[in-house]
Amino acid sequence: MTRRRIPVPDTLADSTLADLKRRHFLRQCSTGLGAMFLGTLAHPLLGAGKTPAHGGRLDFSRPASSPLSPLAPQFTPRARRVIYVHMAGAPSNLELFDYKPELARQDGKDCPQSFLEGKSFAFISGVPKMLGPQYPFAQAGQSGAWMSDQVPHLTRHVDKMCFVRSMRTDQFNHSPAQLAVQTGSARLGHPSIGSWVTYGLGTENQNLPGFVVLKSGQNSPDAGKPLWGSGFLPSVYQGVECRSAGEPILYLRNPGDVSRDQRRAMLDVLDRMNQRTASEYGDPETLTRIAQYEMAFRMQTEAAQVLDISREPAHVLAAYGATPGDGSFASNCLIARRLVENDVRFVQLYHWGWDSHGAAAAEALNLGFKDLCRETDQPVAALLADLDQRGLLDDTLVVWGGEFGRTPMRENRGGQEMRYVGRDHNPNAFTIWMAGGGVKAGTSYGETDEMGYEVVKDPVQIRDLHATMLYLLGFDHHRLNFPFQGLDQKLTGVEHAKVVAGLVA
Amino acid sequence: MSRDGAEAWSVKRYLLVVLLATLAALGTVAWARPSMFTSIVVVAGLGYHRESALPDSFYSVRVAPILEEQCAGCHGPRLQRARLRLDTLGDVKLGGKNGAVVKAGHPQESELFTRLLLPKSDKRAMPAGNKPPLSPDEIKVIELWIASGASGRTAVAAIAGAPPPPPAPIVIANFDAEAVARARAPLKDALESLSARYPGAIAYLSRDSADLSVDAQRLGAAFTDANLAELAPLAAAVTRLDLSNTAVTDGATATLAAFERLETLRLNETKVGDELLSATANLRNLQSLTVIGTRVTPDRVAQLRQKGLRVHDARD
Repeated sequence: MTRRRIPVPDTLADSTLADLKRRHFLRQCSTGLGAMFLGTLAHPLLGAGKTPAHGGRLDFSRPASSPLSPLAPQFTPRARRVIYVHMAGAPSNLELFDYKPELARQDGKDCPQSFLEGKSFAFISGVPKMLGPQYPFAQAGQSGAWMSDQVPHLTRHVDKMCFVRSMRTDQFNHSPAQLAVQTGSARLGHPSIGSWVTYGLGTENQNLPGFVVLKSGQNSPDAGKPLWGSGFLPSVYQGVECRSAGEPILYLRNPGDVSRDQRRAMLDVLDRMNQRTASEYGDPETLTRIAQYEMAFRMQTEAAQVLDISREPAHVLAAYGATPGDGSFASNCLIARRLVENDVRFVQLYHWGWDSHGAAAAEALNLGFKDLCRETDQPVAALLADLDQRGLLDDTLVVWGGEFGRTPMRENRGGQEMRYVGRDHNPNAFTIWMAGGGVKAGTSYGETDEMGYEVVKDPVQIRDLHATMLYLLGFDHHRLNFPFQGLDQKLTGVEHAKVVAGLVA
Repeated sequence: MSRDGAEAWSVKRYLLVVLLATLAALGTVAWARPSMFTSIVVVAGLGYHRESALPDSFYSVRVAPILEEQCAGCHGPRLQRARLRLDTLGDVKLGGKNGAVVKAGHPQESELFTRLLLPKSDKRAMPAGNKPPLSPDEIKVIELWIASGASGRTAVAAIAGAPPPPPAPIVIANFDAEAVARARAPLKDALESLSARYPGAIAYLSRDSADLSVDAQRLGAAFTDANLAELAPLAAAVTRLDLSNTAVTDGATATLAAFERLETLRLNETKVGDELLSATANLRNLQSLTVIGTRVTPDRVAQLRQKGLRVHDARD
């Protein structure tokens, strides 16, 4: 009979585990459990009756059957709904809204070393050349803001707009930067602004989603669906993607041989089964699923009507430059107006293609960029005018922006002069603008240096922009929160965020 | 005797030398390290007058907030880098271990100003470390203050050419739930029964307010003048009223006049005309009126616009 060999662990972790005898385990376990128990006690004992630094908890609970029912904001809001126009790919502020005459004088000269030290770029290598603004600028409106000749329609509404020229981000690649702008975090798993807003305010029209997403351009934004995901919030708050070409919402319509009554009967059976699952497992996501089926059933009639822009008179279609069913940004802008008119809380538009590196004609500042301006300038301008005429701009917040800015240096991929003109990514400075709902119209906030490379006055972090948006919607950003993983999670994260007083009318 | 006299003389001489040496040392300190001299004077209790600023002076209104936000982290109550504090006017005038930082009337000779202009690569540049530089406006404010004599008494208006002040920071007050409940109490019962009758149409404007928003839009043609009249008990609390797409007519004029605190009124796609708008004479807080797709005449719209009302009729 051979004695059993004691196995020799091959890693340190294994040996630690092997050394842990049963008695040790139990002893450590009991203190561990004790500490955990005290941890659970500590909160009510120490925290009881104490108001947290930012006031008591706001109640966002709703009946499971109506997770989107409206809730009042914390204080009287300036904006009741939002249209966020995200220009995916990061449009060049230096060719649109941030006029830099000194950069024009430096055009073609070597970039100063101070611009390159300690910086990392996506593509620029060696010593690039400075690149002057590619289009002429002129002052416009009462406010005298400098506007490029690529946005002639928008220029007429310059006195409705509030420019933030001093936006900064800490991400210089598209996906994380888009996530940062849209969810407040560069990592996956956080709710988008639209999700936070529908969680906080619900929506008045229960026959439409509270948060609608419309995409245009050749591609989806780089970070994809997580941009309008609900993260750790219940999934009922995620954005619902609608289309302006073909079926407005995929899989919403009944198949040809299924009547509305049959659909109802089917949903009733499904509802009973789901209710049983819900009571058995208690997973709130089951209740979310039931609510979503019911919303889809109600949407079948109303959504189709609201999303159908062929009902608009010809002069409105012409003003936007929209053709029903073309899936264009123009159509999406018109749909956005129809949606907010029907009390949709948050409309998110994406238009892809602004990544003007200059590596191909489509992404050249002197070619593709012009097309993008032509596709988007008139519709956004028409949207502002239309909202204004309908009295909706008073309490609708419109936000336009990309995920970062672009360098004042010409991109020189691989150290070579490229065939087309382009700029690399610049997270240190970019411009966004807002209009409507409580923003200071006809103003500019913040400044960049003479080259438009760095912010020199009143920097605005993305979390500051988010805090300001939530303020306009009637929330202290600390108090629009959701407990998850032991933290009261917020759109603005844990770093200090401030409401930018200079943007609020 | 002479020996005693010589002794007394030598003690006197000794004291004189000590006195002269002390004065010379103090003089040197006063010349080279004014702040240390001031400290010595203060410690010796020799009645040094600490300068303080008037609350409405240029210093208090414009300069102090900048120093507080940009400098006091390292030069304040918590840390005193270079033995310098910048959180009160007295401290600013006192200077640090390298002497005074302000020479009244001469910004170019005042380190409080000149150090702000140094390039980031200079290790004497302020603010130090990773802190971003002061904005051009902030630097200008400090320069103007020193140039004007660095006083705590000069009024804000007395210093010309200062850039406009930044807007006051937004402070969101915590609301008092009990006070809100008290404000809501008088209409609580009426609101409950009417909310049950018109579900989803009536809501508080916010959690900290007793004002109401009424949105009858989704009730559509089922909502008539009679229904609006039923809301009369709540009328004085409503600040936002949306009757778009309803069957409301000019017959509701008297009812509407009771909604005297209205700020926003929307009447799109209804059969109302100029008559209903006569009720707006009673709505003193009204700011925004929307009458798209109604019988309201352009003349009436023009008239109301002249009174300063924002009227939206989608015809312009």
